[in-house]
Amino acid sequence: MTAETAIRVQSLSCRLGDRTVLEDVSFEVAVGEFVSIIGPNGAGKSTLIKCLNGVLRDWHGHVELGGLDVRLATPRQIARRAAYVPQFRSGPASFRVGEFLMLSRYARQGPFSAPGQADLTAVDRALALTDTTLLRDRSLETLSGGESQKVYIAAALAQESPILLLDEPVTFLDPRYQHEVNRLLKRLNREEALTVVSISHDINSAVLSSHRVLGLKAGRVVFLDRTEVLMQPAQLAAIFDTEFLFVSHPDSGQALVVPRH
Amino acid sequence: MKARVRPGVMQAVLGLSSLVALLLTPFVGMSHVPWAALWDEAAFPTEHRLFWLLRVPRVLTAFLAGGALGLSGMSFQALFRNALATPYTLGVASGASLGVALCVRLGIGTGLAGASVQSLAALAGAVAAISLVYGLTRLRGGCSTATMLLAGVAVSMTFSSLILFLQYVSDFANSFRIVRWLMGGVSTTGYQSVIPVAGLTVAGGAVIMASLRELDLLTVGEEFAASRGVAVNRAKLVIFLAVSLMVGGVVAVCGPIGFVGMVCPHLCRLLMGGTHRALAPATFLLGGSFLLLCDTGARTLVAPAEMPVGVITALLGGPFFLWLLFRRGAPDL
Repeated sequence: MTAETAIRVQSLSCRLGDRTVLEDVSFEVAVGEFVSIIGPNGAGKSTLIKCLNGVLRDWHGHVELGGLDVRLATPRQIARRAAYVPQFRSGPASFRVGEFLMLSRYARQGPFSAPGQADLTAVDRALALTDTTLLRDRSLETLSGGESQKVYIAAALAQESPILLLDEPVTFLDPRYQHEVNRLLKRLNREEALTVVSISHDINSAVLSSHRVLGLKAGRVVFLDRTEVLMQPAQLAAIFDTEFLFVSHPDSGQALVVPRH
Repeated sequence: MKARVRPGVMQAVLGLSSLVALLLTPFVGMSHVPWAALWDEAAFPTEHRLFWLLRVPRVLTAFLAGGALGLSGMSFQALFRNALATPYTLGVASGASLGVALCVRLGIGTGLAGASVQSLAALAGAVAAISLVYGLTRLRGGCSTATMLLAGVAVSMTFSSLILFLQYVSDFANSFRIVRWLMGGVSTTGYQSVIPVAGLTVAGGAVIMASLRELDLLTVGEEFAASRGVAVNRAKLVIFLAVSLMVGGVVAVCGPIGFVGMVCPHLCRLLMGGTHRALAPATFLLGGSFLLLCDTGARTLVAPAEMPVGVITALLGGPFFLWLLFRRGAPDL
């Protein structure tokens, strides 16, 4: 619509095999917004992210990243708009962290060009932003889960794309790293003006950082509104088919959500 | 933390040893070749021809073939994210072998002129195998490495069984010829074999060198690579074709020499680690000098007879795996 729209999705449908994973999904994300995607397992959240960044190509509908039509764009063009932090960190890669970050400069390099000053600066900056500069010479496989997650976020930052797409960034982390990463993402959004779309199972922290929340259930959008509107028993129950209790945080007074057993 | 050999050091060492090997090995052999024989054809006619028409082309072929096999193994190890992948993983060697087996069984291609007919048959077989694997992959749909692997294994096994059958219905002499060819050897004469190997190695090698970053990203994962801007299916195809070219050329001339294409890239990765920018040249040099030294051994160890070089590489392969199993440090297979 306007130049302020970072992501625009219209009637996105996706079938994997004979299963309809996404059906008629439509929404927009403004530049500089932080949107959390929540929903039960199997709702299609990961698939949605992968349709946005061009990893999956087999879908119907219309997806735009900052005005760029994803269907017509080359992978490099898409990578310059959006950076991806995957859910599962696989691979026997024996790269050092610094090398690994340099790989993410692919979209901004030609086939034979050696890393230039711009690339080195981007890598340095990404390490500084995620507080991982000391890990630069460590081998990827020696990192802990929390360190590895921060490195993957740093790799996405090294891409210097205005949109950050994250698939469950804190699910496998201990409480301390969960808190660190959540704070990092909020800072990247508020201070570095990155548009952030993040899948999360942790409703409470999602609520702290996000402007809006997208609720996905069985491949359909069942909620799309500001965070305050989400924090109501009826809304949450509708999304997760579970009753929730609202409690008040003893220190901050913030409203917390807890499943009712 | 595992210590890494610095790429500069590795490449300098390998470059130097390759140069030394290339310069010295032509002098190694049954007959002694004096210095003067290099240019004085009148005084040393046999030694001159021996050196320039037999030894030098053979040394060049061995080096180029080893380098090509190293690069191919490296590329497939990245593509399949498996340090045990070999250049023959997708069935190219079995296709070439079937071509040669057919040739031998049908009685075409014995004798000197036959050598080139055999090479053509090997190349034709290699192309057939590549086309089959590619065709099967596309038929199945998509371009996943799992599909390519299955297609490669299917083609490999089918062709191998056909080769076995051909050996069964061949007489003693032909059956022996097939077996000998399957061991792999660099016994070439003249430059007519250097040129195709050199040409295909340079062509395939250039394509691989242009795809180093794609190889790096594919090693991390295909979805990750796609999200970074790699056109994954196209990259996989390009690498597949480049490797097929190189391996096809090598196998057509030298037969399916084993272990070079698996051991050398694996060793480089273990010692150096890092991105393919440093790994690729090092792997090429290590593969080339390794095969060159093995071949020098092949033609001197049992002089005046000659061993197929594939026997030597195979003999070295076993202990290498044992070393891998028992070495200190984390196994990162």
